[in-house]
Amino acid sequence: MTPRAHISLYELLSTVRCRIDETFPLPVWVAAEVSELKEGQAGHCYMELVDKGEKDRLPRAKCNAVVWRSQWGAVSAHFFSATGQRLAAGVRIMCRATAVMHELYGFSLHISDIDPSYTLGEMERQRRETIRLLEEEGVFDMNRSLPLPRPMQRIAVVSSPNAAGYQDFMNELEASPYNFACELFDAFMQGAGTENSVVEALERVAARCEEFDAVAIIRGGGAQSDLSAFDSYRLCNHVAQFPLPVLTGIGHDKDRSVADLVAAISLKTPTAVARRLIDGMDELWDWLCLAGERVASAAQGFLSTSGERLQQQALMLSRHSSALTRSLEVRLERYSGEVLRLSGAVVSARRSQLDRFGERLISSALALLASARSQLELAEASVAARDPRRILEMGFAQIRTDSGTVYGSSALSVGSTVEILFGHDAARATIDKIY
Amino acid sequence: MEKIGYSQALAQIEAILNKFQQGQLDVDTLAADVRRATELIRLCRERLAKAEKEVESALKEENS
Repeated sequence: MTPRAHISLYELLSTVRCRIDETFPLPVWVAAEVSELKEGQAGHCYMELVDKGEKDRLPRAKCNAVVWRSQWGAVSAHFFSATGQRLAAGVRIMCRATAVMHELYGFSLHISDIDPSYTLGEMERQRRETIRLLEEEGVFDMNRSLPLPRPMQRIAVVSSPNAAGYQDFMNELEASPYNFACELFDAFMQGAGTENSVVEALERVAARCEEFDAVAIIRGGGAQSDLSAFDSYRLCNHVAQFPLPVLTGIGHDKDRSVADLVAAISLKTPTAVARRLIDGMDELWDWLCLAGERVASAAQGFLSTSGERLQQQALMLSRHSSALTRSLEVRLERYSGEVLRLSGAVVSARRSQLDRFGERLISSALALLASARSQLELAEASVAARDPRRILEMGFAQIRTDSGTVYGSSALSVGSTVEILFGHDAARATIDKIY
Repeated sequence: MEKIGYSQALAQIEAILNKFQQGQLDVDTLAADVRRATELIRLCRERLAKAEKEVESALKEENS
């Protein structure tokens, strides 16, 4: 059997290599995203570059790339100084590369330069996109609108235990006079895993959020830090919507990351975050002292006012009671005067009555006596008028015998003797005849 | 003088005066009636003066 017409793999790849060499004889600028990066022991840097679709973000092209040791030092240093971040997986780059096809090692790009301005632009684009999305969703100001708890003492710390910033943070808090309760939620703070790691740590904190007053996201490194993860939509969305106030100390010099913008409080360094927490406690302490003084002063004022009021009331009571006493005394004096006056009037009336009685007694008695006297005088006159002596003096005579006054001849007999009485004398006669 | 109330004394005085006013003259008892009435009037005056003094001293005690 004769073999089919064919070419060897080597011939095939050699042909491909020739075509590539012909097509791209000079280096070209290629835009791609670093999906893997590894520095080899020899000092070369091996990467995997990927090109993701604009919409679905799924890889649509992928290849290996290398930066030789001779260029890697300069390229990476220039990139780092310009962008503030290291070349790592997830970073979008614009690289000048030569397309190389090797029959044994396959296709790869040999990178001779990387333009950091493209990455900066990409970073800015990502940053703006994140801000736009957060604003569009209305969550941009959510964390900043949370009221800050007082005291802010139980802190969930999202950081790396080995980071210098974390140690600075803890040292600063421990040196303060306050008893902060910090719990570390371990997370990668740099490199490609930062976004996922920080988000995962935040989720662990959120599950126990009632145990904390605030979250501090901190890392050392300052201006040289890689901030791109803190501009990512996912991480920033978590920070913006976090139920506790978030304090960031992730290091920034010129531009603040989006995480800084949406966090309740953002500061440059972990030490500054610690200082801010301590300042908050200082303020609270001062406030408590002032409040204590105010309470004491208010209590003293109240007591003093109450005392004065009591004194005033006592004075008023005394005034009122003395006024009442005086009015009662006046009334009693009036009553007393009335008693005296009325009793005097009664006595006087009685005395007049007795006087009148006395006068009436005298006048009545005298009248009675006068009446009796005149009665007697009348009687006397009457008696006198009837006196026989007076009658006899008028010429009449009374004839009497031994038996008494003779009122008729029947009491006489002839020859008897009678006595004739006249006014002033008498005579004896003998009866010689009776008619 | 026997113990007699002011009102009783006054009633007796009035009775004697009424008797006098009605002309019920009894010369034998006239002087005795007048003496009696005079005595009762004196008694009443004394009672009155005493009561007056007591009122004054009671008011003095109250005021002091």
